[in-house]
Amino acid sequence: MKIRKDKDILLFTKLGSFSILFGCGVLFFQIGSKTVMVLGGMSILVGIMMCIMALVASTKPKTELIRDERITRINEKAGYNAGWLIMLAVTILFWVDKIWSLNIELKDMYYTTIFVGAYSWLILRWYYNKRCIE
Amino acid sequence: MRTRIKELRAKYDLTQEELAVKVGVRRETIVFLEKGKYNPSLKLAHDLAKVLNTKIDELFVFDD
Repeated sequence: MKIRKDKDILLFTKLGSFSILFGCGVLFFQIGSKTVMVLGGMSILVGIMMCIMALVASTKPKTELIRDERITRINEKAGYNAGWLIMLAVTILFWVDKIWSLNIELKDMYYTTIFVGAYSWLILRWYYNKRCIE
Repeated sequence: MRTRIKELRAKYDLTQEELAVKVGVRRETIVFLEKGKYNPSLKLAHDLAKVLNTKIDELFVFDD
């Protein structure tokens, strides 16, 4: 497997490594405060994700990462349909709450819409990329 | 819709990767174009025709 080592990949890896080191430093020096510990943990997590993303991107040729018109069209179509799915999910929750009096709070609605929106967008993107939109 | 991209690409001895780089798209896009599964924009069709030294209406054939 050929691994690219160009400027963008190295920059992303450096930022990820810095984020991990920052997180470790925060956890080491501020172990008492819960909020700071969460911040440190998040920083480590983001750093690890950035390093993984850089590694995955480095194994692909640069031409496979171009955002061309087909990808733009796929993203637009997936976003449009994900938007309608969010509307549908919110409508269903609203009527379920009305009919069965479940006392669903607004907080639960946030999680549902984020979940439905993000996952449906990712799944639709994958589907349109496989099938190819006309 | 049928395309003559594969035929002309072979004539000019270009790989899918090379053609993709010349017109600024992903190799996958060229694959879908050759299969006739993707309708390109006018700009991409123009760029492809220019690289393959032909006209747009000769590159893309529409069956009535």
